[in-house]
Amino acid sequence: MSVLESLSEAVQKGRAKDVTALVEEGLSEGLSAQELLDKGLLDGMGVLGERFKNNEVFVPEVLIAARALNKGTEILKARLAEEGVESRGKVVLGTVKGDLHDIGKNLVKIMLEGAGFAVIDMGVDVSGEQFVAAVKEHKPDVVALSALLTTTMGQQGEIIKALEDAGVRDTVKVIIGGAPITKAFADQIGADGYSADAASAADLAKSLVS
Amino acid sequence: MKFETVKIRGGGLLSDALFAAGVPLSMPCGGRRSCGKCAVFVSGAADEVSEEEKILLARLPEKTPPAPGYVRRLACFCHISGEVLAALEDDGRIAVASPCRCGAPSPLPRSPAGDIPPRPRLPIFNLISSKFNYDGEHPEDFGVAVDIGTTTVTVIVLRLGDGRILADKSERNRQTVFGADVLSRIDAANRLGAEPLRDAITGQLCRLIADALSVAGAAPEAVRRICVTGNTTMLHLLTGHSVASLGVVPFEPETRFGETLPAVSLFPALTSARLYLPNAISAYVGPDIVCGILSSGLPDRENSLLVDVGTNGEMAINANGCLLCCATAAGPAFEGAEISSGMAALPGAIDFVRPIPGALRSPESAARGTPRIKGDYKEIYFSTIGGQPAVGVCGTGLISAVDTLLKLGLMDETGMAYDDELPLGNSGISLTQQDIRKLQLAKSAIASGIATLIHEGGLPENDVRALYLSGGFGSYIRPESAIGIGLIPKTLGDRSVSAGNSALAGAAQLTLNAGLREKAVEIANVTKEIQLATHPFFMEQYIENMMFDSIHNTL
Repeated sequence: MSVLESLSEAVQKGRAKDVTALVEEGLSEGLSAQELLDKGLLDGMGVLGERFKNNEVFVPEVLIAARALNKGTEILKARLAEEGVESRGKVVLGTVKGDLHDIGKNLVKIMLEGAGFAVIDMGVDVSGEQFVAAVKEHKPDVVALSALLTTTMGQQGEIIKALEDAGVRDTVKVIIGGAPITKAFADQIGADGYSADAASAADLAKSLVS
Repeated sequence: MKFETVKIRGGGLLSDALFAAGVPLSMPCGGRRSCGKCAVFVSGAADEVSEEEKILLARLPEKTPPAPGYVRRLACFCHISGEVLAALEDDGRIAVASPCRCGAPSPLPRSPAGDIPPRPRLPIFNLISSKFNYDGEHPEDFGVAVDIGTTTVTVIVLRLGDGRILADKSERNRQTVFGADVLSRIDAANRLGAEPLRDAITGQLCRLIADALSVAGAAPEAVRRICVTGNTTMLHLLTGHSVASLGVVPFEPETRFGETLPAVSLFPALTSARLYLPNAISAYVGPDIVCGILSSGLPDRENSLLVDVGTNGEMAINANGCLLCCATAAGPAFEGAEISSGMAALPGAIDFVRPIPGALRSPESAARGTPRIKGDYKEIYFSTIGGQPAVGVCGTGLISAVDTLLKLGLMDETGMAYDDELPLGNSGISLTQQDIRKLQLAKSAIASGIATLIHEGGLPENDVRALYLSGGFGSYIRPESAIGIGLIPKTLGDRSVSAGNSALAGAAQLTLNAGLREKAVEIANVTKEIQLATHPFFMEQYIENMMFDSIHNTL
């Protein structure tokens, strides 16, 4: 098995120590940081994301894989900057006002980063004003809104309105998700897309920016 | 497999009809049609199985119908129109009672050398000191103490004069049909109104209290005092306070309790009793942990930790004289729910698992992630409650089983099993990969909560003098298994003490001695809550502790 294949597998299995060793090995073999990232680390995360979408793996595997992936990217960070690598696009992500759930949102972040996006994580309990300010500051391609409660899902619509009122709605694609969210709800509040789980969110973002 | 068959007549969803008929069917996802756990066999006027339902049904382990003509359905999908016979699998998951026995305090068992000793008969409370003399009149009359857990409800009857426990009753919380955890209950109350949840718990408590009083030989009108504890959400639902604000930021409870009412307002039979509801600290740290802090004497035990290993995972620390607390959503895996062969600690539940002597060629190899020799499932030894044939696995069994699988190299430190089915010796009971994942989430929540409290308390882990494990399940944990899976820090293994049901113990003390209420109020006022949801250290720990060789164990 090549270093890249082994690296992809080590990420999928969440073997952090193996990831560290394989990244070092790859670099010493003369592979570029970009290759190790795309064809090793992100490939592994992508495979896992697909399996997550198909209910073959669950939250712990994804968190453990992300932990391993982070060990790899820490080593590669400086090299990537040297190589001048560009991201696929920029996403501003947050859990809406009134809602403190962050595990689902963090999974979406992991999957988006795994797909090569630069993610600006606004955290939880984020208001429309904060999203507007972030859009103006970071000029993202996508705004992703998470809500886990029936009592807070309405905020997703409020935030879209706030983006409209601020005149920045047309500069971004808005995608939404969370346990109570449906396609019908997304259409009703005028979101550009809805995803049922974290892995599909990355696919959705990819399809919207391409 | 035994079945309990009920005849139901009506229209609409089968789950609603079963609920209206008082049949306690567990619906872990609260009827969201996502978990696929509310399977029943149905015969009669039911609709066709939808495609969505078929997908969920296909994931269930195969079961033989109780009789020809029965079709397996999910109660949250199945619509009925007329009369149906519904057969529920009676495997301990339906009318569940966790054992809660009276007796003399006993130390936790240590590593068994040869045969596994029988499950110890632990007392309901371990730490309660014997002297809580009744402070009032009618010492020959009775008091009742109640703990409403998210998953398990326990009622005891006390003689006021001498504080003796005359009867105890325990059952699975009837509200579990509305969801397994606190948030899904709040969500259910928001969607369906709070009345069905309130009716479920008041009805259950009235029945349990009546049963316990009859065992104790006590007349309802001879009950003078009752103290009901539980987490903040449970008490809101019981007393008819709105839970809407408990589900959204800033998570404010409508009331923090700490009041005395005529008991008759909730329990019509208790005409002579006063009802006391102890104070809550916050929306997620409730009267139950206040009672636990009270009964465990935590305020006077410097550098000690109290952990209630339950669905809501509340815990508190006395760090250099300051009380800190937090709640961590562990989910119901430890109480046997959401595990494929999970059940409560009833006869026939596998309660302890270990490798057969000599099976460990290299006990630490699995934990270190070095090349391992895969063991054999035949090398697994198990014991069941009451020595009965195994019918499922309870929380302590689950923890020791995973510890054993790790030690035998049948799964790796990331939680990946090497086989789809993980048979526990020749018990006929297996774990699945998904069971291990559920346990991983639960254990990481508890382990990370403990780490965060120790961190916030500014204590080196080595300075923690005692770890009190409480709760119906927590009291029975064997420290060596808990360390093996990284549920509790290695350094605290030999400092862990079983505290019994510390919440119920506190409620009993408050029933006997009203003077202690002041102390409970003070505990609620001075204990500082650490918010874990937005805590970066907790989040970091939560991911680290997913691993079975967590950093705790390598310290």
